Parts: sequence; C-alpha cells; structure tokens
Amino acid sequence: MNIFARGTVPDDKILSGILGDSVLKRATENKLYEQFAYLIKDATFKHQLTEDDAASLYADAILVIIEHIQKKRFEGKSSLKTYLFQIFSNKCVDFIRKTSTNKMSVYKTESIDDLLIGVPDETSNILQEMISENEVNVLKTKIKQIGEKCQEMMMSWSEGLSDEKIAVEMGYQSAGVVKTSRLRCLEKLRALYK
Amino acid sequence: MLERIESYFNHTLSEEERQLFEKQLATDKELADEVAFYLNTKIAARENAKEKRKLAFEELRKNLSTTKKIGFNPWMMGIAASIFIALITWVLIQNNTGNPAEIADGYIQEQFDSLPVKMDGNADSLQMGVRFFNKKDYSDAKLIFDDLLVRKPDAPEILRVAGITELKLEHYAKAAEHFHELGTQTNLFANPGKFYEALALMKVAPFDKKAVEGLLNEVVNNDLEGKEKAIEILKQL
Repeated sequence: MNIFARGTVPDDKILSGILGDSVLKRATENKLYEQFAYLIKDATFKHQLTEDDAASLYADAILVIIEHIQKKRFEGKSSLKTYLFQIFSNKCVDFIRKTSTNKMSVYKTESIDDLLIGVPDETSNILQEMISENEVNVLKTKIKQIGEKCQEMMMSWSEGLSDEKIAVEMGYQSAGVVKTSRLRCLEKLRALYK
Repeated sequence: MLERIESYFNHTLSEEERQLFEKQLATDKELADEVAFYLNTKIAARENAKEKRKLAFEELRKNLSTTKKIGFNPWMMGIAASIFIALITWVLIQNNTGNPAEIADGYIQEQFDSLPVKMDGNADSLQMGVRFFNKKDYSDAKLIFDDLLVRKPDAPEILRVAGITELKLEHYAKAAEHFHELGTQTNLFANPGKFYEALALMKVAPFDKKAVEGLLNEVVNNDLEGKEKAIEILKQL
C-alpha cells in the first residue's frame, strides 16, 4: 500500500493545520489520512479484515485523532503515527469481537461534554437525560431535508465553529447574519421535526 | 426561545438569567423540550458531519489507489534509474557553457512573487491556497494544492499554481512534473505549461540542455505563452 506515499508532513505541521482555517484543515486532514493509509493494508494481514472494513475503521480512527487534536486531548507524548496506530488497532480488535457493524456508521462516542462545561451538576444531569439516540437518528434524517446551505451551516456550528468563521467560509456578510440564518434553519428543522 | 437557549450554552447570559434558566429547566416542560431539541440537533449535525467526512475519506482512498499505482512500479523505477544514469553520463561529456539556473532564477523571482487573488470574497480552496502563497507560506499552500490535485488532477489552474509553489519550495523536479501535465493540455486559450516546464528543468541538476531547448523551441514554433522570453533564453543557453 506504499502507493500512498508521496512525501511526509511532520507532526507539528499536521497539528497546526488541523487547528487552522477550514480549507487548510481539510487539506491537512486528507494528508493525515493519506500519510498513514498503508496501515489499512497492514490491518488486512494482521487482523484478517477485508480492505473495505479496514478502511472504514481507519477512517473512524482518523476522525478520533482529529477530534482529539481539536479538543487538545492529544498531548504529543507519542508521535501521531503511534497514537493513530493504537487507536486503529483497538478499533480493529473491537470490530473482530463484535463481528458485525454498520460500515458507514460513525463511532458512537458523541457526547455533549463540551456543552456542559460550567453547567452545575444538577442541570448537567437533567441535560444528559435529554439526549436520546432515537431522537438523534430522526433529526439526522430531517437535517438532510432542510437545504444544503442550512445543512452545511449546522454541521459547521455543531463542530464548534464560531459564527465569525462560518461567515468567512460560507461568504456571509457578518456573524450576525450567520446567527439569524442559523436560528432560522433550526426553526425550519423544528417545524419538520414536530 | 432558541436564542435564549443558545445564550445559555454560550455562557452569555447574566448570572441572574442563568440561574432563572436552570430553575425553569427543571420545572418548565416547554423549555425542557426546546433544550432537548437543541442538544439532540447538535449531536445529529455532528454525526452527519462525521459521516460526510468519512465518505470523503473513502473517496480519497479510491482516488489515491487509482492515481498512484504507476509511481511505484519497480519496472518503471528501474527504467527511470537507467535513464537517469544515462543522462548523467551524457551531461558529464557535455561542455556546458550556459548558466541556466541563474537565468531561470531571475524569471522565477520576477514573475512568481505573488499570485492574483480574486476579489469576490469567495473562500474556495484554490483562493485560500493562493492567499497562503502570497503570505509566503508555501508549505501550507502546497498542502492545499496537493489536496485539490487528488480530486482534480487535470485542472489547469491548480496545476499552474501547484507548479509555481513547488518552484518556490525549490522542488524543481516536482514543479516540472506539474507543468508537464499542464503543457499536455491542448484545449486552453493560453497555456504556459511548456515554458514553465523549461524553467523548472533549468533548475534541475544535472542540466538537460536538449530537453530544455526542445521545450523552448516548441514554445517559439507553436507561438505558445512565454514565446518572447523563450527566444531570449535560447540565445543565452
């Protein structure tokens, strides 16, 4: 699988790129994916996985790495390659144990921890109770019905992008316009959801 | 109500408003339902974003598998190595009198100091890469252009700026590769590919005079972009 090799980007460049503006972020994420993609082939031998399954798990591992970098959970105590290898290996082992999975489903570790920072315990418990996998699944489908711009805006918002950044990336005049449009998208979604 | 909920999670409510919100949340079903909708929506949108990204990775894997196979064929590598050795031998017996690298340097510094940015405020990837280039952040510009080329390997404008960026990074062989690809495109109104490829090759050691002259003559004979400069360079070589 060395077909992917075409010059490596050092860890510090990958870290700063992932924390950069969206275009650089996406390019860096792709480079990260590409740089260690030979691990997919390795996993097909080591764990006896099909290449498609290994690639799906590898993409999940890359998404975890990206999230850890964004949330500053990657502390740089090991190289990115080692860190990725560990996460990817764990995913392969988990997959073999479970033996069945939905290939395109994303790992289910979504949490609202980042939203609960500074929220008192009592309220935090109430909010945690509100999360429902069923509701999330229904909303995932409904979001796809509210138009491309709304979808894009909501995805950026969900990933923690500020309205200022969304305005720059989506070509809106100001953060205020983004906020108004985003709240309108939410209203539109709620109307569909009810 | 959504605005108030958002203000709560963004920590922009006053202390008094925050306490009132939390108190109301425990007793007011309407508010609780709205908050539940807000939170579940945020998680749903996050999962959609990740699924979309995962599909993009899968697409990238397919593109890489199909476009990169040639480069690592051992036979091709062997042939390339033989050609390289033959080239070195040939160059060593040449009595090279020109100063091609310096001629190319002058042009590269003069012409490629900055790239034009579209003034429409559009933040597309190409323009973002151009902005990095103009800030002299060539390695980030390269990251973006390389990424674009995986998806659009034949796009002339991307090949042009990617090649120029490689020139700035002093990756002359890679620059020549991009310009060569650009030069093969025959459907463009103006194509500087062959002239730029000649410039890049002038910086590659050992100097392949025959190849550079061949390209420059092609530019002159076919009236391609860079013709006047090509005539000047041919006189100096």
